[in-house]
Order: sequence, then C-alpha cells, then structure tokens
Amino acid sequence: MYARNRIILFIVMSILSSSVMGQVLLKHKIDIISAKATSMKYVNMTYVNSKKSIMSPVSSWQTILKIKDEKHNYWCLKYKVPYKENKGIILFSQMKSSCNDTKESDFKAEDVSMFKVMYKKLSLNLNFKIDNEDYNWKFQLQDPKDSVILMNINGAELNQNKLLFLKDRDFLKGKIITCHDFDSQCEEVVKNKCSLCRDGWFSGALSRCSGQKTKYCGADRCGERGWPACPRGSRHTELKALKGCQNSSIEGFCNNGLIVFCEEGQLICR
Amino acid sequence: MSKITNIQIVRFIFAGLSCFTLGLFVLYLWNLVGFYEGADSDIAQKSLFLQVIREVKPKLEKVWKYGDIDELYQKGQIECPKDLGTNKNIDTNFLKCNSHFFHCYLEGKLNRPEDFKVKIGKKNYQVQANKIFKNKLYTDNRFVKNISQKVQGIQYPHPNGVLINLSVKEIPGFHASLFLKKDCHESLLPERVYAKKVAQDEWKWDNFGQNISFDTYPVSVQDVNDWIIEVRPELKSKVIIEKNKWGEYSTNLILAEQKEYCQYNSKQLMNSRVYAAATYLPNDLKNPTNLYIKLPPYPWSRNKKKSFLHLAKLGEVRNYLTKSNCKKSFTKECTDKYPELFFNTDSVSWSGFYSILGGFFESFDNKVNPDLNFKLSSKYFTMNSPYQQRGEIGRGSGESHGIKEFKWGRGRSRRKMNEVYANSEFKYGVQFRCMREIE
Repeated sequence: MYARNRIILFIVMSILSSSVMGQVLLKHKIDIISAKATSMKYVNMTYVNSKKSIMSPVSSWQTILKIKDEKHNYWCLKYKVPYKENKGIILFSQMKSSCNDTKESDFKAEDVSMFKVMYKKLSLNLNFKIDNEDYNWKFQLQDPKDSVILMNINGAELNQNKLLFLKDRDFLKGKIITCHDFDSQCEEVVKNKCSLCRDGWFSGALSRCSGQKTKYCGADRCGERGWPACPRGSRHTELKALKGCQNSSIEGFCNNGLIVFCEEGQLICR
Repeated sequence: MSKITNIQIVRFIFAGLSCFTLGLFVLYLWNLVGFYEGADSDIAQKSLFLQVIREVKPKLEKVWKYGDIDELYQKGQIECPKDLGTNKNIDTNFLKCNSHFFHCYLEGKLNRPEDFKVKIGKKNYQVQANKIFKNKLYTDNRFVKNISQKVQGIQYPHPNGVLINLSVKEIPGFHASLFLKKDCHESLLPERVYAKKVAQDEWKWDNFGQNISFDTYPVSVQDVNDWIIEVRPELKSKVIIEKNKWGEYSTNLILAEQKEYCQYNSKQLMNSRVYAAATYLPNDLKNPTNLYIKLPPYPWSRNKKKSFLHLAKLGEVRNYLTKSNCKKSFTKECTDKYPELFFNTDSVSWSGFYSILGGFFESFDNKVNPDLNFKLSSKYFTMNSPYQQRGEIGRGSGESHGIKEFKWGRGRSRRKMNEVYANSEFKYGVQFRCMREIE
C-alpha cells in the first residue's frame, strides 16, 4: 500500500510540478469520470485493444476514438504517430460538433511513444511513454443505458444545469423557447438544450434540415390555433408538391377546422 | 591560543546561516511532502471509495430494473407493511423502477445482504444506504427520494427517477448520491409509416426522425399518490390510502390533472395517433415505408376472425368467458367471474404496449379531433359489444367522470348505457399514460 501511494504521489507531484498541461490532464481526468457517453465510436478498430502500440502510418494524425456525451459534445482522442526522432503527440479534446474541428487541445502530451489504447466495459486506458517514463491514465465513462448513475460525491454536484422555465401563455406572446433548430443548410442555429426544458418539449412539423425538426419547450399544444402544426412526417405520402414550408404543407397538421400556414419558416395553425 | 581573525568570524557566521537555511529548506521539503502525502491519501481514498461504489452499482441496478428478482412478493414473503400491500392481482412488473419497493430492498427486507458487500483485493467492504431523505407521507426519514426534474428545477440524467445516498463503512468521510432512472415502463415507437382511422378514412403519418417514447402501462395509483402528496396537496381527497390498491391503475384524475401529472414527469399525455400506432400489428413489419396499411381491430393478430372478441360477437359469449380471455380483455362479464389484473403481460401489442382492450376507459390527447379523447373498449361493455376493439373512441368533457360527461356511438347504444347507470352516483374509471419525445 505504501509503495503504491509513493507511485501515486510521484505522479501527482510530477503533474503539479511539471507543467500546466499536467494540471489540465488531472482536471479532465476527474471531469471525464462524470461524463455520460451517449455513443462511443472506434474510428479505427485496429488501434483499440491491440497488444502492439500504434506505429503506423508514420507521421500521420489518427483519430482513435470519438465519444459523444450527453451534452452533445464530442470527446476526440487523436494521435500523431511518431517517426524516428519526431515523437508522437496525443490530443484529447472536447469539440462542439465533430472531431474535425480545430481547437486548442484540452489535453496535449508531446514526446510520446509506445501509445496503446485499451477500452473495456466503459473503462478507457491510455498507456504511453514520455522520456522512457511509463504513463497509464484511466478514464471511467458512463453507459447511457445505465439505470443507476453516480451523481455526486460528498455533495459536490456534477453536471447539473438549471432548467428553462416557460409558461404556456408565453408562446402567445411570442416568447416560445425554441430548444433546437437548424436552418435550411443544416447548420445548427439553436444548439440542443431540450433536455433542460422544465415541462418537457415537443417537435414542430417542419423539417428544414432532413430528419431534424424544430423543437420547442413546454406542454405540447401543437395543432392549436396560433401554435406550431403537429409533425406528420414527410414519408407517409408520395406527393412531393406540398412538402416543406408552404401553406397546406402535408408535413404538418392542425386541429379540425384549422389550416397549416407557412410563417417565418415555421408551419403554424390558423 | 591563537587569535580569532575577522575572516574566521565571517566564515563562522556564514556556516551558521547556511545551516539555518538548509534547516529551513529541509523543513519546507518535509512540509511539502506532508502536503502531497495528504493529497495522495485523499485521492487514494476517494478512488477506493469510487471503486467500491462502482462494484455495488450493478447489483442495485439489477433490483431497480428487474424488481422482485427472487419472486418473494407473489409468495407474500416480503414484510414491508409501510410500503407494500399484498395484492396477488398485481403483477410484479409493478415493482420495477418502484421507489417504495426499492426502499424495502435498502431496508434489507429482500434478504440480499450480499448485494452490499464488496471485496477488493483481500479486503471486504460493507456498503450502506443512508436514511436521509424526508417524505411528507412518512414520519421517519427515507432511503429514497423521488426526483422530478421539473420540481427540482435542475437537470437530471432522466426527467424522473429517485436518489439514494450510499457510504462505505470502512472508508469514512465519503458518501455518494446515485440517481436511478425511472424508465422501466417506457418503450420506443419504431420509426415507420402509421395510420389511424379518422371518421371512415385512414389518416397516415410517419415518425421518421422522431424518437417517441411511450409508457407501456397506465400510471399507477402509487405514482399519482406520490405526486399529490409531494406537489399537489389540493388533490388530497384523491389519494388512495389502501396499500393493496397502490399497484392498480390510477383512474380518478380528470383530464387536466392527468396532463399535469405527465408534465410533472416532463412528459405529455399519450396522444391518440401514437396510441393507435403502438397498438396495431403492421401488415409488413419489414418495410417501414409501406404505404399500404391494414388496421386490424385486435392488437395481437392480423386475422380478426380468429380472435375471441370477434367470435363472441357471432356466438354465445359464455363460450369465450375464460380466465385467459379475461386477462387479454377484461370485459363486463369478466367482472363477476375473475379478478381484474394490473401490470400483467397478457394483453400486449407488437410494440410493447400493455393493457390495451378492456379494463377502464383510457384518455388521450387527440390532435386531429380534440373532442374524441378516450378509448371505449372497457369493462363497461359486454364482450360482444362493437366497442371492444381498437380504434373505437368516445367524447369526454374531461370535467368529471360522471356518466353525463361521456358520449359515444349513435343515440341508441348511448341510451342503453344511460338506462343502466343514469340513476346512480356511478363514475367511470379513466386510466391514462404519458409519452415523450427523446433526443
């Protein structure tokens, strides 16, 4: 026990004393313990759980893992494969939409060699060497299918966001909260925050970007006069003429007696 | 005796200062190591604590998700009188994701002490749940706290669930809160083209790109009780105290209250098109975009001619009045002969939607024709009634459950029902369930 503590002490000391990078690493180690992965993708299976370290293609950047968390952030693990005197580089970053984003890395380790990635039962192990010193970092991820989720230790809350409060009548005053929206170029114009809606959320009819409907916070009052039309989908009919944002679009429907109108890019019942 | 020179004095002072500085430096290093040792010990203890909690988590998860895994409830072998009744007509499905049942488990009433023991290396650890949560229904503290994202005002991993608090006897100074998602009775509506009957026409829609999750069972008395006690004390008269009824379906809320209950769970009241979609067996399961859709009247078969409900219309009802048929559709004749079952698995559709025909009326939100808002198939009609099939819906005012508030069919059959119940204080039971979209 004492010897093991010495090793941990050594690592903690080297991190604290060596560089800011170390502190970032330590900080994110704790953060990632609480990250709720909603998907985990091996970009290249040959790199993960291999007994051999990653040696090729030399001098190239390889995306090893993509992890999507509950807040729709991507955690991307990238590695520059070493070649001769050019040692490897590990980048582990939180990205907004995809792993191709360019962003200052949250965790960067340089002069890396003998890099191995082990992933088993949501436990991610990164083994590597810097200056012949062995490093082993463990990250525990959480399965979104888990029914039991660790929320806090000693009362320190993790990842808790305040909810969006919205009263029903706010929509009529033009104050409806759109909690997720795209434009026609499929650019996300309102980042998804629907899970923060206090009273749940509902989809509008329109699909400006294929398969992505505009979503609103609150009790579902779609189909009522002055409210968004209810989603009817676009594949229940072969008629193409009345799709998209236009009056009487078949992608939305309203209560009997009301008609679907296209207003400011949305299908509204009048 | 030699004379002490100035140089020697300077050397002496310098040596003294050096010793002092070295001493200070040693002391500093000592403190520094001490500091890191403290941090190290804290990190190591926390890491060990986390490891113990992670080891115990799957065992708790198993009981939370699967409920009465040792089948003690039906045998009457769980003594937990403050939280559980003894009603053999309630299936153990009710005990899945059930906060009261889980409290009994944490109290040790399921006799599973091994679930709370963890061995790491050669050392044993004992995990204990802490009774720290207040609940308005009970005088003493509870192991379990009901969570509604809406009431708490902060985001949880699921809009509703429970919190528990654990510590480890051998690692004092740490405690962890665990959130248990209440999602055992939810199912996803597969993405495909669906249809429902509107007047005499088929009205098609599809849910491609929409993840619609529906409650597989109607809401229970226990869940409504908990909601009223926790957040709607004005409805106190609707709380059902009798524990044996807690696993039955709640039938005494009016439409607005049902909607409010669903919102409490960040959900919406079930809507009629989802209800219809989840309860018929599609004719072509392999092709979700098939626009040719048949709407069979019974959820468990495409061929109506083989169903006992259809055969009962053609022949003598008593020939079909069996226990197994009453489990599938609890009709008027069944009420005198068999007990009504709750949370049972006999009446199920292809999508995992339970309790479809028979039993109580069930309300829903109809976005096409808002007045048509409850399903008719129920124990208020005989087995050979034309209403004992899918897609038969009635008009409810939503104001109360008195006989005058519900209308269906055309004049003659409605008059017949009124004759039966008109002079009594009779009230229909109207169950309900919720749904939500998920990202």
